[in-house]
Amino acid sequence: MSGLTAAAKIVDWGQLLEVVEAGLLAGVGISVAFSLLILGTVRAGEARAASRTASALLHGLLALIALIVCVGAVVFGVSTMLAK
Amino acid sequence: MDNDIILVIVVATALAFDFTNGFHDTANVVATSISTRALNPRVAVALAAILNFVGAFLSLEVAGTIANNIVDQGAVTTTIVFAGLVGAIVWNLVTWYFGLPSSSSHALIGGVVGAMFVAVGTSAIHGDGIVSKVLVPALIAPLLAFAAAGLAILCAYRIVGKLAPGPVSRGFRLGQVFSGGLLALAHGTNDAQKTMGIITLALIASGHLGSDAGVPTWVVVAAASAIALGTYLGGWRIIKTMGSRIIKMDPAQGFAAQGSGSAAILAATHFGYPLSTTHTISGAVMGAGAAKRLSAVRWGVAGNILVAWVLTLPCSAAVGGLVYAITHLFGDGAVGPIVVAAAGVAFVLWMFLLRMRRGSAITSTATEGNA
Repeated sequence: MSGLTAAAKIVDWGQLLEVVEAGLLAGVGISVAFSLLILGTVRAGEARAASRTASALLHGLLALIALIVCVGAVVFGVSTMLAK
Repeated sequence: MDNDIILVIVVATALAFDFTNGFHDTANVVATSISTRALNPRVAVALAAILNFVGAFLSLEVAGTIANNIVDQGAVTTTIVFAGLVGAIVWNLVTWYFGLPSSSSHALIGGVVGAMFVAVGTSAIHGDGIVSKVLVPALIAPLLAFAAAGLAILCAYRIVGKLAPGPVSRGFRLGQVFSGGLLALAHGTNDAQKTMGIITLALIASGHLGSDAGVPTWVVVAAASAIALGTYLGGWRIIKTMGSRIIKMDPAQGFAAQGSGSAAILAATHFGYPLSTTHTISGAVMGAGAAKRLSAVRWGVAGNILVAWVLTLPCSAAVGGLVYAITHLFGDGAVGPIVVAAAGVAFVLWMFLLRMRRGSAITSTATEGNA
């Protein structure tokens, strides 16, 4: 039991919580952004084929924003590696 | 003279470890891309090798050697480093043989701690460093990745669920090329750095470099080449386990596992908390499978992986300690490391000949199973 208490004191729980939050947010965020990119691209294509311009533009915009988030995540990832 | 011979053996052993590291950990980077057919197996492995090589050059500032915070650096000798490396190589080969993904970094830490324990005793081992830098991240990495990949795949299915499966699969396969690339880069910066640190430490310990010297260019090139070569030759047994034996993946699950896994690694690194690529990706693969259907995960295989993780530190420590004890039997000179290194090379050659006599290589079987 004293071993567990000692281990609990060694661990920086604040930093750990930060890591869990950031990991979950980044992990789920990148998949959500990429899924939205696919959704926007496919729906925009369908709307264009059906000559629904407004819908095509809206889904195109969604795809663009999702693409920017994905590219931003990759840039953040590479800059994190460089800063190590 | 003895000092120089030991140094040459340590450098060669460190590069051999780096090779097994690339060989062993290729699976983390490419398995999901191969099993979802996002990439052809040979292309996936070649891409991972190139990006591992590039990754090794990205961050030349060695954040600290593998021994940093784990053992008393003042007490480290080249023989201890050698014994630790042999312990790590042996554990990497054993887990490779059984097709189990396990952390090469933990194997190296275990090997060095075991050798240090036999050489100096518990006083030179930093227990608090092992708990905070090794054991807690080992627990957090798979759980965090499991949760992140599980949530990620549920969100992804909800978003793209009503779309035609063809374009969705093509989209996620394309995404896997980038998520896999990011993972390979992260692996190169992480793991090649550890070998560079070990070789630099040996050069400093033997007096060939000043204590404040940076990493020599030849060390960077040699470490990057060894990890890239190991990655290219690939550990197909572990690729098979990661890519298809834990769960049968669809492209969305493959992307969720790789994307959320690498995002979690990089986000944690950003906060100064590096996580093991092996632990993270294994947890993410299981999370992406379990979120779809609990029974989709082959829990028996997952259990074997967990057992290998738990055994990594004690087993590599035992081998590291044993190797140090054997080398010490021959005195403090170069004879001990020469005998152990020669025995190791002879054993590897014997295994190779045995494999050649048995016929088809492991690689072809695994490739057919995955392609």
